[in-house]
Amino acid sequence: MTHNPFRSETGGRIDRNSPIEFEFNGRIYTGYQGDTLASALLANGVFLTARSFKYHRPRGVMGAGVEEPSCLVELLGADAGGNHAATTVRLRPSLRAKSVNCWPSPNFDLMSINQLFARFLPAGFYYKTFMWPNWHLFEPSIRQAAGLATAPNDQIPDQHFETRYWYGDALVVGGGPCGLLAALIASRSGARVMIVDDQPHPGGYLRASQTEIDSKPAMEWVAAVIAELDANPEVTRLQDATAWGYRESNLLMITERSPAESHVFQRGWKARAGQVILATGAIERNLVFKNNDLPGIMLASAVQTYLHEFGVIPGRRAMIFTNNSSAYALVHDLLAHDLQARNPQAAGTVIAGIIDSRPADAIGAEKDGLEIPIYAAHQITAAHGGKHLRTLSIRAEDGSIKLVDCDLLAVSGGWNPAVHLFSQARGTLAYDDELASFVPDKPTQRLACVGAAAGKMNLASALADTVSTITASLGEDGFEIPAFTMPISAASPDYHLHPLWHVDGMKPGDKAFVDIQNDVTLDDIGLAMREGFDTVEHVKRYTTAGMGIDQGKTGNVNVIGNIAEASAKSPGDIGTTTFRSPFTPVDFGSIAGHRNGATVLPFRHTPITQWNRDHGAVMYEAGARWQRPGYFPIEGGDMQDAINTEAEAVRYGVGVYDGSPLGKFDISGRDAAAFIDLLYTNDFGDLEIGMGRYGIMLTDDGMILDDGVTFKLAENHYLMSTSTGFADLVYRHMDYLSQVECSGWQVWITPVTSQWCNATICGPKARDVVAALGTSIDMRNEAFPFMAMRDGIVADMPARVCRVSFTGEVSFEINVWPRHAEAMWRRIMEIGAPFGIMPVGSETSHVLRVEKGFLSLGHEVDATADPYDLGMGWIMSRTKMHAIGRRSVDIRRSSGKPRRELVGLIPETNGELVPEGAPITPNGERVASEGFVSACVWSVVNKQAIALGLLTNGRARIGKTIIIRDRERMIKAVVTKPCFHDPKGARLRG
Amino acid sequence: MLSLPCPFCGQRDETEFLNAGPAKSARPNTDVTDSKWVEWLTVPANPIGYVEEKWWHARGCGKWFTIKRHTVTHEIKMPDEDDE
Amino acid sequence: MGYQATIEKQGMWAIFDIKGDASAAAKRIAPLGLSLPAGTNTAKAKGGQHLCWIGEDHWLLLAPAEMENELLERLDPHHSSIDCRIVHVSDAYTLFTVTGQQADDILAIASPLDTRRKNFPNDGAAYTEFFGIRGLVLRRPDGYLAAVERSYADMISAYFDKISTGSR
Repeated sequence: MTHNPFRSETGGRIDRNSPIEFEFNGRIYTGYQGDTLASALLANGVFLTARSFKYHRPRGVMGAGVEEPSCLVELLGADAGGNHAATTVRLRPSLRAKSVNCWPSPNFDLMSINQLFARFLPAGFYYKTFMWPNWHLFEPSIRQAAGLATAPNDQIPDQHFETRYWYGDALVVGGGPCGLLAALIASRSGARVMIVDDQPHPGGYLRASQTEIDSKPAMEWVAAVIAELDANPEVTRLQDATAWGYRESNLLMITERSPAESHVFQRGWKARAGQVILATGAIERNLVFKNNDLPGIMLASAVQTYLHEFGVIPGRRAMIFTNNSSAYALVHDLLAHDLQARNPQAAGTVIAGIIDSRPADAIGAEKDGLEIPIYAAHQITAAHGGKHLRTLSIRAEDGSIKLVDCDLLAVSGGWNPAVHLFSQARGTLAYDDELASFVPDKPTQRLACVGAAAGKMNLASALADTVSTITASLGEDGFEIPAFTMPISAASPDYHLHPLWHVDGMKPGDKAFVDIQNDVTLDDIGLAMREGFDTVEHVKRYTTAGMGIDQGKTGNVNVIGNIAEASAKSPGDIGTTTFRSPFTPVDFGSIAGHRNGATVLPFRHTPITQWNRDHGAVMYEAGARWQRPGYFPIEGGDMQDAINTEAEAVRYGVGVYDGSPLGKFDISGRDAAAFIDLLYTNDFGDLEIGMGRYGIMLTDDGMILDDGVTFKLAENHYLMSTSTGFADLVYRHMDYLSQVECSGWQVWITPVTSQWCNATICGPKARDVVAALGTSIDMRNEAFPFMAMRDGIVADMPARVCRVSFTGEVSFEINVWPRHAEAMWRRIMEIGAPFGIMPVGSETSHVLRVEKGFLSLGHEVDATADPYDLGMGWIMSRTKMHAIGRRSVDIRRSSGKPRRELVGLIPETNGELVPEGAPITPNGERVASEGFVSACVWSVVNKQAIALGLLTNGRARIGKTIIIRDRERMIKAVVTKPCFHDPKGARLRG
Repeated sequence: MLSLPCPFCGQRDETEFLNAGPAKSARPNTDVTDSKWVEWLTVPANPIGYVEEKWWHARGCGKWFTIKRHTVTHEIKMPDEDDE
Repeated sequence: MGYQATIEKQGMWAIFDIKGDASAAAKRIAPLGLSLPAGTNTAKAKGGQHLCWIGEDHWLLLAPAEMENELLERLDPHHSSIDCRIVHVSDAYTLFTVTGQQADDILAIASPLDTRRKNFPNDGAAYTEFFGIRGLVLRRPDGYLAAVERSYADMISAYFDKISTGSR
């Protein structure tokens, strides 16, 4: 027999035939299938389970679900995770957990010395103390002292996270009586329904009560509803799943923690429904008195859950402290359980009395039949005990104090409708005086609240209200509800409450907590208000009340009530802080889903990618998600040697690179020529068929958007090429113009980037290689000049050959369909071998273009440069004032302010490269920069390091020396024209 | 995450779209003053209430369209609908 | 382990991008015995060909690879017809089939497309997001056909492997 001294012999819904061993803080305990970590610890008599965040006070389990403010644990092992409420951790074999916030253990906690210094740790302490020189200096040690859990490192074997979409007509959140009823009605109307419940089993609070429906135990009604829902293929029922975020257009973010599929660890749902029904229930709140955080003090509703769900009564001598009628149900339930018989190992649990802050005449039918002491109009002023509750100080109306011994205190400060999701949906809240809490007011999305979430605290009327609400809202969407028999629940006493925001008769310095998790006391609220932080949002930030992992579920309304009382206003005038998602902590994995490992970022390949890999290329992304070869390592050489070898091949022999990622667009239609003219700053009107022209396009604010070559295939038919990285942006720009601003024009734009691959053969021997491949195209320079394009056959394959050059050498871009690309590439390597052809990576392309001073977007063009700055004033047509961006360039330049201009730089470094981005400052002083190095490479033709840069008034400073600051190092450099190789361009035209 | 009414495809998830900011009035002619040009270029409407926005169904049919979105509630209307 | 679904990368298809005036487009495809689909985001299927209406004034013709030469000849994509433009884009796409009883689960993971029949009927064909990129999805009697830009095909294969099994 398992030693569970606080487990009753019968009762509860645990499986007593399935004991489970688990580890907590290094010790082995036993619980049962169906337990939570919290219920198993309580059953074992482990009450001191945590230390508090700031003062390291002893803490135990206070709640039974997501509201738990106190007992946070870190899970260890393969499915590790930090900062779970022990009340939400399902017991399972090999579960290992440890407390957070305590070191070395909750029983012997070194940081509890903070309690002695408590008066030095008031609200705002961290803000006031750790401001200088900055917070980051102190954060690590504060974090260690606070002891929040560490992030897990291990991966879960054979399982992964998943995310998926769901669409339906009705989405019900909450598996309590009203949620089930709502789902049942919706499903009978033929709607597609999802019901989400954060508990492992449906029933909600019915599981923790003796309520009857239709004259039978309520759980029998629950079972019948579930059977009907599960038989309906249009119904998706998620248990142990939390709807934690309410997004726009009725989208709910849901994390399902135990999916049926064994390969899925957790599933994130993005579920969007025609309407949402929030049946999220209510959360009990605490009462504020001295030492209200001692282990042994729990929410009354939690004690009921432990009794009914887990067969655990976590004390021998119990007291109740309430300001409302609901806690009396616990007393009735405890008595009904015939306590003497069920706790044989002890003298049994005795209920020593009920302390009710309401006057005797306000206590109604809830007390009927009870023969235990009821202290009406009494309050607890203080709880006493070292590591567990021992004694209570009870204060009568006349101020007299009486001491009562007990080891379990069940408190109820009233109920707060769980309006979190409603409020996330931007619905407004209203303060309800009778409930002394906030209730949903005006929704902004298509949603309805039912049951306790709507402030309906009486089951019978809540069920009736659910039926009418759902019938009406589904009716709006055209669903008809078939005839329906109302479930009849047994009559229950009306809910009645007198607000009690804090007890009377406390002294300054008494630790009476309003936010248990963040150790925020009533004094802290007072301090914040005295220091001028008197709105609820300010109080929250100054004291950290409501900022914990529990987001103040049990404490926030008490904070608001106390601000209201201190400022003599209604809580409704104070209002609430913003309710933010997530409602409960969520594993990042359930949001990221399958995007991990190799698929964190998108990637694109060409048909040559595999060849590159097979030939040892070092691959990385080079814009727009394309994986490209950076360089091809050579034996006995480093990266620079490899780059030099490739660059020399192009300059003195022949090289080839895979230019497939270049953006390509087919543009045609009656107005295509006018469209091209609108896009580019230079004239294309006189372009001949079969020829291409380099162009620059600007954004509307006059910055360079892209550059590239556009060929004219026929009248009003063009093939535009763009830079690899900006192809998508250019497409967006063109598509916007064609659809919105030029909607009357006839222009068709078809992206053909992936319809064409190209191998670009470049270098003095390029023409020889193409000829050797065998081609139908007349390759003579006069027949096929620079910037021309020819269709024909190359190496027995249909090809389109373009004479453009991004290297400064004569180049032939052999474009083929991707189905032919690999074959073409292999032929080029084979036929080119006798010519010494080398494959060239993107590092070498960079070297070659810097030697020529060709632009690279992202290097020289950084969204501040215009064509004049780059020495390309010639590309700004004098006649095309309407070209996109032209006007803005003119306005900007009319100010006459000095501009940064493109120059060449020769750094005096004995060949060492200067980091790209290094600033140029006047005389090398530590002042605002006058430019920067945009690119720096080793030039194989100049046999020295060369650079490009943008420099204020740079063109006027050619021949002068400037100073680059590489952190503390000063590097002199001579300013030159931005071209280091064949400035007349004779080679590329050759 | 919004659900947006594409004129061609109907309601689709926001991840299929790109937002292109507030809708602009028609492009001014080239003879407009510099200050008017700069205003057209750089001063977008930013009300508490409905703002006209351009969206591109980039991962869908490719349609560019205008909607009115409420900057507080995210309620969406077509440009020709009343604000209430 | 994994879902009851079969995912297969397809070989070449013959694919043509058609833009322009509907009557001009109808005239250009008439010789193939095809007419334009009546509903937006639907496809007309005939003899293994699918003509998909995927955007305003925009259609995509998918046909078996063996028809490519015939279609190149009959559609004459390089003909610059005044009211209609046809671009040959067979190589620009890679196609995958997703079939089996849990094909819907795979699609719900891959795409935000609402595949309820009222929104995506039996002849549904629409562009949508597909593992973060743009993809065309067609409904088939036994599941779905998806087309993505070819350069992303290896990535899409990696995604499919991952989500349909327990591998990370």
